Amino acid sequence: MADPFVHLHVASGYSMRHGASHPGALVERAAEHGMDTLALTDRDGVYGAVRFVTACVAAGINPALGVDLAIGPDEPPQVRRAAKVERDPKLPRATVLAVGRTGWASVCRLVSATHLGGERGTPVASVARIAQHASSVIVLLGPDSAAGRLVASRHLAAAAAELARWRAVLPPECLYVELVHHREEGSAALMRRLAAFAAEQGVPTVLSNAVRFADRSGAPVADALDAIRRLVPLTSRHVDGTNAEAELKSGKEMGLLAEELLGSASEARRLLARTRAVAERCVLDPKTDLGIGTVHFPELAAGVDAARALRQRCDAGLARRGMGASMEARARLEHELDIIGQLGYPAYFLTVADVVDMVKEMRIRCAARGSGAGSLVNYALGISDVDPIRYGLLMERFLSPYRKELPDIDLDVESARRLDVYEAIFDRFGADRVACVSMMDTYRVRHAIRDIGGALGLPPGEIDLIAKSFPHIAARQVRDALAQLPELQASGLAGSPRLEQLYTLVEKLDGLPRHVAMHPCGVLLSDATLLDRTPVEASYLGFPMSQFDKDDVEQLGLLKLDVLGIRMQSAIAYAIGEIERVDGQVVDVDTVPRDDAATYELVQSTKTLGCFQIESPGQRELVGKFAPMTFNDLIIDISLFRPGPVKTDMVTPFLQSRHGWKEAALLHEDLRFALEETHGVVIFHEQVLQIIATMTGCSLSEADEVRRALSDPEGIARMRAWFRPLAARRGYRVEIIEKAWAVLEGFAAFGFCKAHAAAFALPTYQSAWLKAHHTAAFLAGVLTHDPGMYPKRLILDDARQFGIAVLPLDVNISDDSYRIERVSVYDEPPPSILGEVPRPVPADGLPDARRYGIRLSLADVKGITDAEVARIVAGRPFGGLSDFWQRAGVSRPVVERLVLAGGFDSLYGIGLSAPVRRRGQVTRRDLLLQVTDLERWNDGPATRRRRPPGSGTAAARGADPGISSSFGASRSFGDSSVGDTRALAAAQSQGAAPVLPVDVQMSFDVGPADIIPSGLPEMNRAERVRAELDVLGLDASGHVLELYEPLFAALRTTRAKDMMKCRSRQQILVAGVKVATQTPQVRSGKRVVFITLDDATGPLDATFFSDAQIGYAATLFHSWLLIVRGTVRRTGPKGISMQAEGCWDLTSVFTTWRSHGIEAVHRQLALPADGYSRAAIEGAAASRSTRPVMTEPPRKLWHASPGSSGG
Amino acid sequence: MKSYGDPVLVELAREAPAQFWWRGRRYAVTQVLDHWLVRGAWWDAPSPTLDAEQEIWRAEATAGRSLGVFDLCFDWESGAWSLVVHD
Repeated sequence: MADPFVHLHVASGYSMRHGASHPGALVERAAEHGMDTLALTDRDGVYGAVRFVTACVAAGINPALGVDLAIGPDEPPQVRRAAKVERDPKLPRATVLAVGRTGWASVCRLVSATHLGGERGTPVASVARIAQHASSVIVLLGPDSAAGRLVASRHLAAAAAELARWRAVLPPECLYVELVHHREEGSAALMRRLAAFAAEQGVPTVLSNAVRFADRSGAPVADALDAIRRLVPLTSRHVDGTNAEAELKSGKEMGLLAEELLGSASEARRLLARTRAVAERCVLDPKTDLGIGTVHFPELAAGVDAARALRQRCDAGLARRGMGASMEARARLEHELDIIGQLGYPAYFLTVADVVDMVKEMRIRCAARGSGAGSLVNYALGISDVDPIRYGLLMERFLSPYRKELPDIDLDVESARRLDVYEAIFDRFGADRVACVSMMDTYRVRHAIRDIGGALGLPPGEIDLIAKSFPHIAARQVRDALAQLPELQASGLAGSPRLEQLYTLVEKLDGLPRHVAMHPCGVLLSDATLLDRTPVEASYLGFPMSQFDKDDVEQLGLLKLDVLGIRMQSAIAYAIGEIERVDGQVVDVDTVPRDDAATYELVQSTKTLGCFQIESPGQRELVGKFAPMTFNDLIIDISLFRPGPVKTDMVTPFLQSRHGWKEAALLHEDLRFALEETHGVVIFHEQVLQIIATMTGCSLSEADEVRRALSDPEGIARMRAWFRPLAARRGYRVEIIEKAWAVLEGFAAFGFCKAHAAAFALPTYQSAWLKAHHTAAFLAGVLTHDPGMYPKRLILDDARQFGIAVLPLDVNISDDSYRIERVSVYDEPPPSILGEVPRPVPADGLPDARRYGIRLSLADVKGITDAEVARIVAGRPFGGLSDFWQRAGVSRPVVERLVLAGGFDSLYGIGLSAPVRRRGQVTRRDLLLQVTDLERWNDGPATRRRRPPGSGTAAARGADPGISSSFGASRSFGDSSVGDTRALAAAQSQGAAPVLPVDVQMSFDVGPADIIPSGLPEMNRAERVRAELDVLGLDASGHVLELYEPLFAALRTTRAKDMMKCRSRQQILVAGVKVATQTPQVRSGKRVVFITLDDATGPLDATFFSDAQIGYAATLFHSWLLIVRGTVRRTGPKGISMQAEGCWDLTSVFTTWRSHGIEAVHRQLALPADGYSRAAIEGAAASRSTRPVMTEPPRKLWHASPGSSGG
Repeated sequence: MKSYGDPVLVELAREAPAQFWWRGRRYAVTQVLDHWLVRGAWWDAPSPTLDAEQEIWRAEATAGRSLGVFDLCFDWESGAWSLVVHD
């Protein structure tokens, strides 16, 4: 039965820390009541609007939309930045509902203006602000409005004046007084007064229920959210609701409330009828009013025909690519342009091409990723750089006339310049056409535990422990996790009523929005009506950001371009710059031939650390077995190394055929063209499409629809019935059809889009090419931009393996990045004189980079700021420590760290490790004493207030976070329009301002006399390595394991470089620095832990299966230096790995060895393992992710370290 | 407030208290002054239950010559009535 009542004031979870239900749950509830219309009026924004409307359409409910805003004074008080004492100032509120398309535009623009007008994160509107956006809106003033509160406190004259302000700015019949009766103590009487007041003032009333949750069970969640919002533990004082009445009640219940309030059935009926009438005015049409299902591209210049312009650019592009004469290319281009024209997307491609051209003009590296590489149009336009015809890539996988969804082109740009690209897009298209996409961060288990735990007043330490004990899972899975994870079962984290309350509420927070942030890459491009269709607010970095997320904007037909910052692109750009600077050679990696033998030799050697996509332990094992020889091989390699192919073991049959151990099965001669490249193993979506199209005679676009249908069982059955008769009609034998179908069914879900892999293979090839030909410059780029999965110290060790000299930190040479320098092939003086090992000659077939050194960077000194680095670089050369102290303006701890890490060694001739020191030689310890003296002198009475010069300059201040940026936009409160959203958003930026170039004084009074040697001993080699690890996080002057070499010799551990000599199933001991642990989710629930160790001769990979983890988990997850015992597992000619059986902390074994000898060590390794500990639980939870968890040196590394003398 | 939480026997008419018996006397409700719902401070309760709710009628009632204002509380969880007297 239809329920005529309409809820006009409804908050969903998108009212952050206020609403307790998802929009979908509210719609479902309304549908259960039989309601035909429902409004969503979230607080401060319309974040949930698209989801709400979509749910409404699905449920057959008419949607209405509005926003519930805090209302402040018309003239806001001048900026109060620091004083954010009041977490929730409880400002009065008003609800603004949209009427039709114009009303929706008003609401969008009002929300934008409200967010951009004040302080970021605390949107406050005003009557004046609403007056500017009042066309086609309806305003509801309820008990929580200023007027409502004045009536409550019986200031009727003031209430009337307040109402008059609203009446003065709103068109007639657009202002209503909203009655809300939550059956709280005194609320009935209050509502009667409010109704009487409204009647007296001649303002009509409506009835709402100010809904905060779908049903009563949401009430405790709302209580908890109140406390969370106010950052206080739950007490009656901090909870807004006193009962569970703010639910989405049925019309019948609302009718009873009306009668209870007004005391007369007829008056109640009239109230409900007025409410209904308002609702009917507010119903929005998803398509015509909101634009759902339409498309809006940026306008082209007047008179330009998009299709013709696109054709011209493609023709020119093909000619540039040297394909102008190819018939195949021409035909393919026609076909693609035809489909693009049919779909009406020419403007889309032109826009993307425009952006790509612009980025390239800025000399920023840019490459398309994803299925877009399958399109010849993209190749011709320069959006993609992989020839789709040559590599058999299909456009149909990217764009299809059967799918009316916008194609998705993602652009990879240099990470370090991503924001420059954003700025350029805003400049090019204008802030009224561009916005960033937002991303709604929702509650998952750990955040939910933290917030609910805080609301329940649990001790912070306890909350922290409980939260960390859980893996990163959805909040609703909290009890499953408790039941299933062995560490948690053993931990006593279940059982008490308090914790039961906690978990119940945690489950209820599941998926509720908690924080809106800028999507890492999405940029919206639209026409000049963009801001009529989406509100924007300022992102943290001061970009205008749509309140809609990536799925929402797609629904709204807004062109979204993903501009991803890729560190590898920055590393490549950096390497190219270093080659040019040092060698004077201009390298264009985009045009180097893709069949370079040296590059493939490097890949096959598995020395691929730092290379894009092929540096992980698993990939190194795979390239070792596979031995890629062509660009197409790289594409296949990348496609094979994915969960699907690995799980279904597509790799083995492929490699068997590849190495000629088994004959390739090509299904049928007709399919040879598609399957030959992968030896009959179906790896790519493109191959699935070709099989379907070839065997049934359908088009490739249709074939892609079939492929999509194969993802669910019902689709499989349907497609099987379609496929078999068609293939039979084309003369294929039954066995062939059955075989082909089995392949399609089995692999369709796992296959990978070849275009996607090809786009990835490009930076893979380019990085490998650079590593093969310009090893030092490439690794300097990797060290500077840190693109990969390994800690920098492992990359530095990799550099050593290629003969590259690691040059120490030097305040007069080191830069803000890792620079390469030319050095002689042989060290001077010969290292043997100093008692050091000479740099190794790289192994056969590897590039020899002994002519280069990599200079350590100032940027990695612990605690150093960008401004300090800039001042050091600007102030060079420094004559000595006191000169540096006076001019560089670097804080004392950082100066001390520079000393400890050897940054002043060259200034004072501090030798690296000369066995005999000259008499009177200054040592690093002397320099440290000097720092203390310098500081004392500076703080002396005469110069008490003097700070190191520079530390008070604009640049230094600018680098402090929290100070607004220099974009220089004026705040424009109360102006008549939104103005330029870019300038307003920039004014709210919370990011650090860029460090500006600095002038550093070149001379200064000297201060205390320069260094007098005190006779303190120099730091020994071990101490230096330790200091470097502490200060830089890397061991530069030697490998950290050098100190343990005698133990390794005594224990006869196996080194990484000798692993290939091991027999299969041989039992070995290895030792090394833990560089990564990875714990993928395994369906069986048995956890597998992969670890990578670095033992100074290369990386070593070991696998812990669950039985091997018992008792060793704490050591495995918490020790940095490990000894591992295990069995060798050979997987191919160059494939080797190790199955671990146990592990021990290296430092503790070393201590045993030093004090009790080798027998004691063997006894220690033979002891049974310990059980679970708290450390094991935390470590296990932290590592439980599919991505590797990187291991950095621990802060307290040396509690049981060797060779400490006077440290 | 004189007493708090005394048990009381209540008779309803049209879903509202009509009369009640307290300390051996019968009180007739003359007027319901307010009626509301309130949830306790569930966060202070030791039980994991989160939805305990009380329904309260503030009623003017007489027993013979004496007239008073009483809060009649119905606890939805236990199904028990209790009474608070206002002076």
